[in-house]
Amino acid sequence: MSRRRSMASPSRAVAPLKLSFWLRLVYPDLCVICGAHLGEGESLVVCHICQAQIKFISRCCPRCGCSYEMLPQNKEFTYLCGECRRGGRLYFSKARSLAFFEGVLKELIHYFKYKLHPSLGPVLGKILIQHFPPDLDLTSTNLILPIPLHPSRLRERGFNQSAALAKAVAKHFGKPLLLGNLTRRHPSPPQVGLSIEKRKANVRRAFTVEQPRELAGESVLLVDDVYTTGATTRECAKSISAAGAKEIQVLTLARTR
Amino acid sequence: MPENPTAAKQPLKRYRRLAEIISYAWWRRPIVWLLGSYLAGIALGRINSSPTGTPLPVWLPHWQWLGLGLLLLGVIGLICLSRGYRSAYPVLGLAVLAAGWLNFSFQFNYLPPQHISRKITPHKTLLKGWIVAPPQMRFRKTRVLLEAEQIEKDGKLEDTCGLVFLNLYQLDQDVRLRYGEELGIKTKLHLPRSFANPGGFDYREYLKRQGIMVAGNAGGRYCIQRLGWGPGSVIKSWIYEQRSRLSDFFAKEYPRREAGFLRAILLGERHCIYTYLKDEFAKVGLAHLLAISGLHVGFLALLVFGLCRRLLLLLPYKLLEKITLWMNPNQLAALLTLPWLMFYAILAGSRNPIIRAVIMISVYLVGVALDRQRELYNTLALAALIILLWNPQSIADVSFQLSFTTVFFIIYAIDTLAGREKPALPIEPSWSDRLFKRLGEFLWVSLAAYLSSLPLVVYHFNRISVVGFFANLVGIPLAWLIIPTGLSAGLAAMFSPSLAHYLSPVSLWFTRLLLSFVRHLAKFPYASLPLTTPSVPQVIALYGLLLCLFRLRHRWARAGLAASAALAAYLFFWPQVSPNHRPALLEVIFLDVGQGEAILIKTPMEKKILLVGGTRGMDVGRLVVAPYLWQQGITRLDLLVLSQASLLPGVDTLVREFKVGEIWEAGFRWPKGGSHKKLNRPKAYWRLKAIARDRHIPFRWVVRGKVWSEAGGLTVKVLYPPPQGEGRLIEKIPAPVLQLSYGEISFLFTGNIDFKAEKDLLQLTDLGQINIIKSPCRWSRHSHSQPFLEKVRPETAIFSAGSAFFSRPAALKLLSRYRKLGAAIVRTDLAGAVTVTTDGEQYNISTYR
Repeated sequence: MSRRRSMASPSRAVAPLKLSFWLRLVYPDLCVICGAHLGEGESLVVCHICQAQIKFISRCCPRCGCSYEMLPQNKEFTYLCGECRRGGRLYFSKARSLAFFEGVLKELIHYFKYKLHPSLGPVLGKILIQHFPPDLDLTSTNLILPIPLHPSRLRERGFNQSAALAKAVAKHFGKPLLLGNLTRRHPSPPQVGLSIEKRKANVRRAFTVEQPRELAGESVLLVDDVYTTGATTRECAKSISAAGAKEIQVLTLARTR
Repeated sequence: MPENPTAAKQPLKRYRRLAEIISYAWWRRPIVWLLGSYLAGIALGRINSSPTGTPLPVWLPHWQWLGLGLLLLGVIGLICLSRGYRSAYPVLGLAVLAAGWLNFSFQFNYLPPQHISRKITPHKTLLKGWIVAPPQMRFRKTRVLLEAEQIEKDGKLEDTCGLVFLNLYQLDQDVRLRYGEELGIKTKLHLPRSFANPGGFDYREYLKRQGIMVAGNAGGRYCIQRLGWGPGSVIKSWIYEQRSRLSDFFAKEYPRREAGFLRAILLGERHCIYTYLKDEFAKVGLAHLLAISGLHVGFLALLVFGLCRRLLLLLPYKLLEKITLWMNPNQLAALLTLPWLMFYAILAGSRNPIIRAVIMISVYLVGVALDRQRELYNTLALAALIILLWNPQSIADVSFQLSFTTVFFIIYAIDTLAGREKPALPIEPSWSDRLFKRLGEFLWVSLAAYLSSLPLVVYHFNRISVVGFFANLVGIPLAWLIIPTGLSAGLAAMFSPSLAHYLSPVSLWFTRLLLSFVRHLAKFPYASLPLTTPSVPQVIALYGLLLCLFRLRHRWARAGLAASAALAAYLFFWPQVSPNHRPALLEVIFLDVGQGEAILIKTPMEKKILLVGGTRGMDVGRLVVAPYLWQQGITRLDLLVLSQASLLPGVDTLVREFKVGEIWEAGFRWPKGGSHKKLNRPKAYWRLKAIARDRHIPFRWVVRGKVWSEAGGLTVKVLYPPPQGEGRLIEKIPAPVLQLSYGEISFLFTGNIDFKAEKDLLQLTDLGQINIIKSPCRWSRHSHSQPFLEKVRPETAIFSAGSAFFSRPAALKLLSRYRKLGAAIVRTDLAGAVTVTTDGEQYNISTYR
């Protein structure tokens, strides 16, 4: 990463002999992206300079949330995207993504998921809260659901990245987090590297709702880490919708262009 | 010239940049810097405490108070730093330096007034204390570490403290001492005995580093009285009981050789291994496997960690999902591994290297539990700092140096790999890719560990194992198979002996495989080569070379490699090719080898003559004489003289490891009808002859008249035994008597002759003026008779004997005979190694102590 940064740690006054000071002395916090030391007030794993490089989505399709970044900036676009206008069934009312799945955020998610740094969960959750899409209304939302992992994948990875993000959102907005109801039926291979059609086929009937009564008539927020083609979220939303959910909204941390 | 307004700001900018760099370096690895300061403090304390060092308190009369003041300043510095004042770094560094200094000085110098080392008497006394470590049952003796509580003085029991190392002989078969037991022992206490030779292993210092300053012996069934239980820990007592059961299981279930090996690598009972096995492992560079270290504890931690993680992942899905919301299985497994590590540390005997390994791995595991293990250098420095805070003298331990250097280079090598690694792949690599990757990493890490341990191994053990890298590649995985299988068999024995009976063949098979691999590899010619001790700058240059070698991608590393290679070449080869301006001096060094002798003669023409002889006992040839010679840079002996009738233990090692020009032993006529074989020579003698024959070393019988001389006037004459046909018939194997003359100075080496030989010598030879005599130290009364001494009238008499020799009345009489003649007496048991230097006109005597 060729960019100049100040090597000094942003030191702020902390309470004398605070535990965090001693912990940082013993196990210094380093940015997982650039390796720089993290100062007081920064998150545990990413420095503020790396965080500043995340490209957030400011204008998008009101329904599926696909980006309108290529369009002129001085105009407001409130119309649906071509895909939505063609009328494909999405099963959710609104989907929003925070930023583009590229650069620093892509590296962060890869570190989180594949290099197994679970401490990134709260950090990404914090980013999700700080830049929460303003047009995503959670006032009527009753439940927050993460996209589930198949037990074999959970046992392999040791944690569910979507659940970590969902937990942060649920905690911030004071909404209940529902775990274990929406489950994955069979262990499908990862979606990475598959074409759109194969992705759809890969997750077809992959999800099931164990206790539909818990979801009947509820307004649900579905949380995931990355939205690529929407195949996974659509399939999840389909299962939740079949269980009788009133409204389904989707929130993802990142989205491919 | 117009003034540049920005010019004045340049120094300020530079200062700011420098402050930023310092701040960055500090915050990235703060403990590394603190460790550096602490080490500097220890070095300062060492200089201050060393009897031969610079006495710093000359200009610091109240250094303790100064240290305390600095420590206080450090605390203030730390608070300032936590408040964000960057200028507090140097203050903190200074404070840590003071802490190192104070801690070392305190632990090195301070002894409580009632400490046991202040209460040693020359007589047998009653000592009361409790056993603080599991006793070591050896052949015919039991070794016990006792925390002294009371000692008898003038018929009264006085309170005392401190650790005492006791050898108990001839205890009853059914007497099995245990940890925590309180004992009353009638024993004679003394300071631990150690050979005092330059560069030699100092056993007394080694024990002192472990807090043991007093040793003692006691024998017979009535020497100890069991008084109940002392203030030992109940948990420790229980774990040691299990250890003892495990030890019994191995001894019963496995053949002796394999049982000894398993007891050593699983339970830390190193004394159970055969010496030849230790030699074979040292030869192939696998000696580190025999002592429980970071390798064993690390592997065990990995095993327990993996097992805990696997078990956690087997939890029901819903429960697992809920748990993982709060904590990763890795973090939980790390926390669960910690108590097991503590348990194993006690089970393996709580010895210092094991505790060190446990601290090192625990620090890492705590980092995993907090998901903060990314800066491994800082973690390693923290482990070192904790160990040195606990015992600053650990820095001098070979195991400490080897452990930390090897782990540092492993991290360094892994860092190099990480630099080359491609960005994280979301797609799982295939199993073959993963296998090759792991294999490559294992090879790379093994290479780093092997290379990084080499300079220290050569420095401390004077040996390089040529096959070491290959041996480690095979030996370490085999040891990793033996550890879990052996431990599981042992643990199973506690619950189900029949299950253990089925499990034990697995570990037995792996153990046999490893032992057989080591035996065959050790037989390879040139499997290991003896080397002379490198100097400290040479070792530093080699490490510089290694540091650069692992970072060849960087320009600075290539430049550094060239510079350190040039420095190493200069340090290693310049002394060989540089012109010698040393004056023509003869040096005679009488080494401290206990009861026996090892005299090295360095002639003005750089020839080396070694006179060795002695009685039974420890292997001084291998453990004392050879390391001294290597430390002096000697690899060739022009002449080796067997100067006493009995061989010095370990003399075969000298013949095997050094290039020997020729060997002399006293020639004599055997009695009528007798033959050479009837003389009942010890096995070691025949072994020595066989080695000499294999290495084509001439083995000569020498008699009076044989002369070894060199240009410059130095001669070595054999005075005794007489040639055939002269003098009386000698019925025993004699000791040769040699006279060394250089200019006007003359030495007489009398071996261990008795009064009959002295009589012959006086009748047959004209001794002339003798300046220095190496006095015979016979246990009988019959040596160095008055007539012989009056005839010789030496100026100085040098005694090479153990301290026990001088406690006999005969020895005291001998000393008084010398004193009456006005001869100066120098004893190796008191003075350590004695060096006589002469230019042929005058001589100078210096001693090690």
